[in-house]
Amino acid sequence: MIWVTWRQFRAQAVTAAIGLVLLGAVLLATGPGLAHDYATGRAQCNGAGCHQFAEGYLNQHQKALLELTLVVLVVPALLGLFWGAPLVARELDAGTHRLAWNQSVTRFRWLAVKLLLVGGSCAAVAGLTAWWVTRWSVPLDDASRLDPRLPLGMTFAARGVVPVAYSLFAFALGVAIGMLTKRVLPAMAVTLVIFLVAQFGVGVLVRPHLAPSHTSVAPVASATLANFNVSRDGIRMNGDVPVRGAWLLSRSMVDASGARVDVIPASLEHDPACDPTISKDITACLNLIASQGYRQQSTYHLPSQFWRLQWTEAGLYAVGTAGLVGFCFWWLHRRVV
Amino acid sequence: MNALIRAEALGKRYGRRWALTGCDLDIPAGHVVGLVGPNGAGKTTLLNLVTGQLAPSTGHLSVLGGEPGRDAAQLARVGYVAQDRPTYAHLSVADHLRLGRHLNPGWDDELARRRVERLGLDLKRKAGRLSGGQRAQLALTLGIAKRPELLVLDEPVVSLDPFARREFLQGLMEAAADTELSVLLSSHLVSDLERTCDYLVLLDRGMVRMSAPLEEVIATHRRLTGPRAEPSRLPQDMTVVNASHTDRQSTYVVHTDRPIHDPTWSVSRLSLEDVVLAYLTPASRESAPAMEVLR
Repeated sequence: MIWVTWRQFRAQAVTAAIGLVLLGAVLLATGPGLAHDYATGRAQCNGAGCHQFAEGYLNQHQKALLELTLVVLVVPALLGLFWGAPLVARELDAGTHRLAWNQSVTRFRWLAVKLLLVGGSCAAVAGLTAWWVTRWSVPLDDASRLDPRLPLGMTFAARGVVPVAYSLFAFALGVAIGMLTKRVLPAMAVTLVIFLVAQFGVGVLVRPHLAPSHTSVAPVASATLANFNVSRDGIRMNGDVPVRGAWLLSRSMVDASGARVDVIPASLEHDPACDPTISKDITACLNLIASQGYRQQSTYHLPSQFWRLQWTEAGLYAVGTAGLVGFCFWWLHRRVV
Repeated sequence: MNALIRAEALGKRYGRRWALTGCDLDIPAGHVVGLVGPNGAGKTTLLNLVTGQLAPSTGHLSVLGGEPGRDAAQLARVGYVAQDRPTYAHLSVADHLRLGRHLNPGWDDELARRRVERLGLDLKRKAGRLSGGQRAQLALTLGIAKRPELLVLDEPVVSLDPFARREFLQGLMEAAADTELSVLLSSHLVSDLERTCDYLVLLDRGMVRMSAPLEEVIATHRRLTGPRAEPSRLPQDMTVVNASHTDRQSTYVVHTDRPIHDPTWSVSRLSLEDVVLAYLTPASRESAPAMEVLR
């Protein structure tokens, strides 16, 4: 059965291997230079200069970082589409399951071997991709801790163990959908849609609640200010991430009673301290705002919660994967030929 | 002798439609069994039950004394060449033989290679590029070289030209003789079965109409022709299969195991095809699709 699985999987495995080699080549070609630039930049800077260097360094490499992050995010979907969906659907489509299931191997063993070998390869490919890109990104991740403007949330899904969990889920999803549609192309389309919905839903709606968040309320001060804007209807301002590398969930202004306010009322705008045409320094304005009881509030996850979030989300996907695998065996048990 | 197939009140339902109902079968081993019936009679369903591809909805079925498809050992005892004779289009002939070797503990590689060589199949050629007849032969080779005790074939010769059809059936018969194989094959062409089978199961609208050795089928069916008469005027101990009347004449196809001496009737023997048709013509059952017959 192992030989048969390998023989049918060979072409797909070779394609993935070529992809990995290409990715590896790109990472090996650019990685050392990236690390070197960072090391020399850090060695030459001090104090606020380091901040400036980190910002420039990040701006310079942000595009590459985004592209590689995207690669890591896309790999699980590709595996679900091209390894998961055809695994059984191709057999049902061509009728070859009637050949496969009439050899001296039960269909349970047939599926189990396929799931283990191809699923294992999925985990390996996704894991290798994520690990490689993570290693490549070490200087960039380091720099983004110096320049707290780059939030943790952006790269979360492309780091640690979650890419492996995503890929296994996408694979099992593809197999299960393929069993239901019995056709390869519809299986791929449905798998893609469901996987994207799951990724988006978990990322936006579930992930923030996977670990207890922290809330900080800080007085208004120019040092912790991310943006400040005076307009006709009032003043809008936002505080900075209170902890370096924290994943900011939300931030807002609260008034003296602790209620959330979006805009500080227009009456202050007429105060000369806050009129940009009169006063160039906003400190007086901020002092005025602070004296009225306004504070900055942020909700965030600490960088130290990274692994807790990772394992919890991976566990969530693992439960989904187990459910899908269970469904596959159940369906195989009572399917109609 | 062990029973090849034993079924009691076997039924299979797809949703609300019954594909098979109340099937009782007791077929001894060592036969080449022909399963005949019009399209939609439930032939493929019965074969899928026998090979364990489907589970019965009602009743009981045992094949070679075991529950179909229960475990690897039972799977090894029954070979199946499904209707469309599936092969992996992108795998070569040699790959198919390797697949058979890896998946079947009783695989007879020598037999497989000999067959492939004799058929002139190129080992390196992909199955998708073989002709329909060659693909059928490859599927048959996989079924035979697995060394099953029972080989099941669903419409094995459909879509083959007459020459390939004869060659295929010949190969099958040789293999059955060489390896002491029991065979169960379905067809809607009576002429194919007549040449190859020694046991007949007639299936119609999900029910078994007849199950008997071929010789017995021929020996126990007669056509009676005589002046127009009601069935009650027929000799005792016979079952009317089919009746047709003109103004003056009545023709009956009857099943009986006794000789007919009544001088009122002229008695004639029937060919297998005539017997099968007698069971399936609308006079013997209400409104049914006509049987396809190759003449």
